[in-house]
Amino acid sequence: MKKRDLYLAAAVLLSAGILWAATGLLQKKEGSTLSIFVDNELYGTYSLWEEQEIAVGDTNICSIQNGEVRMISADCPDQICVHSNTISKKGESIICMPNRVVLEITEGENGGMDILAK
Amino acid sequence: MKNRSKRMAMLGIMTAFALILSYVESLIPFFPGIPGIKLGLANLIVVLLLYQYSWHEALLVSAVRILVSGFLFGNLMSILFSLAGASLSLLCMALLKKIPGFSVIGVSIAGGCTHNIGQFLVAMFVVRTGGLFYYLPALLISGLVTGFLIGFAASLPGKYLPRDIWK
Repeated sequence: MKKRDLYLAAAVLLSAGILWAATGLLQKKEGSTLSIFVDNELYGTYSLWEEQEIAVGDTNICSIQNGEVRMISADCPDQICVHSNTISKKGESIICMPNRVVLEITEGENGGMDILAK
Repeated sequence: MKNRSKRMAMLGIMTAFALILSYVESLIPFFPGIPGIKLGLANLIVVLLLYQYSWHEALLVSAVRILVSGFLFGNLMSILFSLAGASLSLLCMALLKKIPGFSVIGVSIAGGCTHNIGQFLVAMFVVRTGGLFYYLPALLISGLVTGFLIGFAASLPGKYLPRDIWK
């Protein structure tokens, strides 16, 4: 291992750290809505506060429970989406690449609020 | 002539080795969130060939390995991911290798990171979700660690195997 290798490794660590901080600062808000995209087109939006199971087409099933989203089942061969961690914060996502299904936490039209009392 | 067949046989062995590494890697549970991202164990062969021969041999074996393992174990999507990661990775490694001051380990670290970046770019292209950036830090760290380990492993045959085994 030479000196320049070390600099490179340090640079990578630094970049990873900066990216982590940047994405962390931008997205740590609790999400309020689940948006589901199939083939990059919006399939539907669902409130995170309502417990429900959603079938996406006939290939994937996801669930919302305790404000968290999981992929319960999928017919893809790798099952990576099913084994993913649950997501709950704005910006987080679960992706089923073979079926091109994306579960993403976004903000609803009310900017995260369900009821506005005026 | 003897040289060429020996080299051809060696490349065949290396390709088979890469395929086995590819398979072994598929047995290790590794779910970083982005589908298609892998540990990249087979890159050991790529780095090895890059140093013992040249980028031509590394590219050849890499391409053959990706296509064959794609047809055997994967699908079109996984082939695309692998090709993207491997191409970017090999390009960066070949270039970095020319700069004095970098050893196998540094080159391999760069290879590991760019391999994951390449796959990340394809994922961005397919899925167009901003949420993917969330995973970049983990990808970079993973590339760093596996790159380091692979670089170390790739330096061993050069030290402990007879030199003429390659020619």
